[in-house]
Amino acid sequence: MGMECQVHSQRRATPIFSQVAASQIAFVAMAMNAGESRTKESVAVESVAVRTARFERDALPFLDQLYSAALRMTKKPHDAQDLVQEAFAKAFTSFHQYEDGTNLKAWLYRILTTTFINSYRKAQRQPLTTGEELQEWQAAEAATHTSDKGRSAEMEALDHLPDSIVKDALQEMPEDFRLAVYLADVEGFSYKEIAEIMDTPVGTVMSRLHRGRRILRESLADYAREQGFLPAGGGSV
Amino acid sequence: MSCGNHHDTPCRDVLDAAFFYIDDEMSDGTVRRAIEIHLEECGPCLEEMSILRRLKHMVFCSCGCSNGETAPDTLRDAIRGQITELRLTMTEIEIRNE
Repeated sequence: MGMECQVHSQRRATPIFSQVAASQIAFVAMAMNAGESRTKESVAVESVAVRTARFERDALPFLDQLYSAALRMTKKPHDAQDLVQEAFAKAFTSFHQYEDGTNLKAWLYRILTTTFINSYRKAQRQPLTTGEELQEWQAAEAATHTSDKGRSAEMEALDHLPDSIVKDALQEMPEDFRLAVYLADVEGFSYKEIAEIMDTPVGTVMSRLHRGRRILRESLADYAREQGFLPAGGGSV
Repeated sequence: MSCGNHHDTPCRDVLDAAFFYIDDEMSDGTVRRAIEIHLEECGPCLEEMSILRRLKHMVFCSCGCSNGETAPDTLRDAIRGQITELRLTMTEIEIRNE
């Protein structure tokens, strides 16, 4: 226990967290007064103590998953920790707005993603991806249909690729595409859930996800060609 | 964009719907069944679908199944400490509002 207390007192005061701390009281008061959206009577009269217990029981178990997700987003352990800490603070202070029995994981991911986009992406000054026409994912689909020979070779080449190459290829992808692919293929969220998490229309999710996968496929094929797993011009992209 | 053989559902339509199919995002059961029938008849489309599934699984494995990270204890403790602090602030506001 002594160790734990020590860790508490040594808690890092990061720039982003400090900003949160400075406006914490105002934010908390605002969040508490915004409780009108609560739908259930039991939640409406819930005391802070009960809500805290509910939060620790229901939301804290998602910590490892959210940390993994934060690592994918920020790419740096230090930033990932700050991001998760900030997201959990926000989640806790607005937990009365969470409707019991609905998708808590998606709710937490939404807070994490929004926090990431607002705090970190701005700080990193990463350009937003552009040119997301909805028709594109349909039109470009035709390009993936080639000869049987090319596809068999590609399938075989994929077997030779190490996990690390896939990971690298994902990291190099434009961020909005990477997030969509990550949320769908790693976290298993539906298109509708991803739309809620990323706060975009479902059509945009499809566009990002499908294009992201095509980019990934292309870069894996490129790598396989370089390594000689795939003949030049082989693969279906 | 066809394998050259006749199918009730053209290859093009199947490939257009491929991502929806592998993501289990097809609301229309009839379309899903039509794709399944097509895949039984058409080798090239089946192979294309297998590649898409394989890629999806590779993404999952590269990020999910083999190296799911555990949050460091320092982070866990920091969050618990933060909840305690926030809880105190919220309790104060709660009392004030009563």
